[in-house]
Amino acid sequence: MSRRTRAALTGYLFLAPALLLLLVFRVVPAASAFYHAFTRWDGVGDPTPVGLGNLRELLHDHIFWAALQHNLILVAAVPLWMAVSLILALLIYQDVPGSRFFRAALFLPSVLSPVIVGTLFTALLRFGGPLNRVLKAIGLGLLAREWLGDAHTALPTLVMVILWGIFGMGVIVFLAGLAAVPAEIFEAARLDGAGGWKYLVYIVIPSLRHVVEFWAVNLVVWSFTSLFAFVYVMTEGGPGYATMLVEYQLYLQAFTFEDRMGYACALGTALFLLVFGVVLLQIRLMTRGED
Amino acid sequence: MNRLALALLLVAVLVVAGCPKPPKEAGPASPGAITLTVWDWHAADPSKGVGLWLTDIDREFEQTYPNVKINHVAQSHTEYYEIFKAAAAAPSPERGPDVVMLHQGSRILDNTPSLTPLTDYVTPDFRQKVVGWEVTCEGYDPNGTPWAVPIAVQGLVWYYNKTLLKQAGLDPNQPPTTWKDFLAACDAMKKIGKAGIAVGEKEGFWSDWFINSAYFQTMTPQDKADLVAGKMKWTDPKVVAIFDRLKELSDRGCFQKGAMSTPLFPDAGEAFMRGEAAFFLGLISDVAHWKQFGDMMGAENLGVMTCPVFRESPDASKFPRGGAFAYAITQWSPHPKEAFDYIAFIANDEHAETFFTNVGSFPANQTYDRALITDPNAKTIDAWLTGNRTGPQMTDMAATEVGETLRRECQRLLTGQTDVPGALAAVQKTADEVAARKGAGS
Repeated sequence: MSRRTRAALTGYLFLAPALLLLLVFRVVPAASAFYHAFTRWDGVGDPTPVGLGNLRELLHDHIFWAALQHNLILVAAVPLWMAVSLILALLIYQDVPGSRFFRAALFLPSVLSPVIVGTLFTALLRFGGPLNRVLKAIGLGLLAREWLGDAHTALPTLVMVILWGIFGMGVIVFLAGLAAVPAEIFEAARLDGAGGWKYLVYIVIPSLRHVVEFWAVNLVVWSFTSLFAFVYVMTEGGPGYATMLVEYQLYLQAFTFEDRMGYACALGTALFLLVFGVVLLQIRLMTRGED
Repeated sequence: MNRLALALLLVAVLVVAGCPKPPKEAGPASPGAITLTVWDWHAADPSKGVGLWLTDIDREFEQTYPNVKINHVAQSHTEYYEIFKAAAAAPSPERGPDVVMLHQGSRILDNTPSLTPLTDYVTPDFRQKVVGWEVTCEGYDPNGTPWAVPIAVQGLVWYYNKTLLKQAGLDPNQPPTTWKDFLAACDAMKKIGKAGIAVGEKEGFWSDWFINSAYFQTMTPQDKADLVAGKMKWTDPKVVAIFDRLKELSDRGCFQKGAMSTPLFPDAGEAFMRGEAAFFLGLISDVAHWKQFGDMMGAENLGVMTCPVFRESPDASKFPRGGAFAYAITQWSPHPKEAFDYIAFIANDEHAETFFTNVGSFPANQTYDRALITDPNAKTIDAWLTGNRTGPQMTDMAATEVGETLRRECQRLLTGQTDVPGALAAVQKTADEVAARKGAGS
């Protein structure tokens, strides 16, 4: 065996465990879901092919469209989620008093499981809970409401809770990005008189462009695929369908209803294609003019 | 160690880790040669209630059948059917449960592909002494193929706090029986700073319970059969009348504040026990029932009644029975005979008595000594049970999907997102879709 072949073989063998895991836990289930998206299946017995039946049903499923609309509202909240993280990261980067403490404190929510965050906020936001009590105590009792039980406030409240749950990670990501930018760039900008809004828009964000792109893509994917735990713990998609997301609908179809695993696979396939398309578009827009 | 050897070692470790484990029978099982795995949602707390009762039964069973070991596994009630479905879909379901606890009704009949028919095990004598077969047998026919053995009798009754009624100037021994009086009682509660009804509608179950509690006033058994068969629409005036009453309760402010985000279990029941509301639509067995409330509030301060009457009918004073738990044997269990021995052991005469005395639940096995019933509210409920003042639930035969739509539409109705016609039209649409799919699949 030549030295080159031996090196290649070693490389492939080191890769093999990761590839095997990827194949078993990602590729095979995804391929299986794609296949079953064209069947009627209860998840246990033999599937019955239905052609494009599930897709046709999906196009006329008003709950799916409502859920998708809610997902898009969450995507629209991505700039807010990012802005909060970026501003806090900048403050810490500029060594405001107590920045070391804040660096640790702000990251704390990110190490909590969404289930814990959801449970915590469910207790805080209940009608007789601390938030409403504080509002009443400071004379703002008119604002006290059933935050998660009111169709008008449930989704915005969910957006804010998710923000609390994730902004710490964003702070760390942006701090890492800021650390990689030569400090002279920021100093030069300051000396040239850049400050406030201009400093942020013309100096900081362009310097962090790739970090912003990375984090934006992450959050967009996340807002379609990783908020199940928040919804499950806090609202179960309700009241009614007010906080229904596509991934929660998928769960209901797959595991709660009879004989709907095939349709759930169709929902999963549609969600995958949708996220894939949105992310491709997002990357294309963000990297436009980069050359 | 060179890199190639290290890489080979990594691959070997991964392959070994991925190898299937030997089946559970291959392990040391002495002194029991057979291990029966039992799943239920009550075993989560073996220190009290049904959990403690089952723990004692497991021990007795292992003494009576020394060749069988019981592996009782507690599963979350919230995700129970999701977990069961995942177990059934697993490549080796035989590693999962042999015996499963299931709710009576559609939860059993939706899962028959994963269950063993009990025709060969249920004797005529056994069938005779147990009630509830109509919600565990094929086609909801009490003489059909049995898929599970009913263990408990469950039902929905209204409890009231006599102390609060007295405080509001009402007669604590004469609870409101008419709808008009009931609304007036709720108004009286508001005047003393209390709520009329303790409601937990976060999951939508309270509305479902209310509909089941009230439907006897507008619908006959034939109407219910027609609704299930699709001959009667959910938009029928008889159903509309029930939803109108539900909406009226909300509009009139009969619920405690925050009801829409309050879980039914245990929060709403606890609000009732704390004396924050005068009425609670609760159960007759297991939890949120006469024993739990009586223990906390004092049986003398607790009363029980059926749904206040808004429309006179021969069945208006009935309460709905059903939804209790039953035990079934999984289709893949290698030990169906031993599994049935275990279920029959739980359902025997002796355990029917301990089920009532220790847990405070009404057993499905009717051969228990009724002299054991000393609690006044339990006596009242038992008199209703034996005095033909019960009937089936309205929604127990509805497909899971229809039930889900019903609960969500009720939430939408109570939060002003829809009106009664809109809510019922949505339920009917789901019922039509399910019927169409079943028609296409058969």
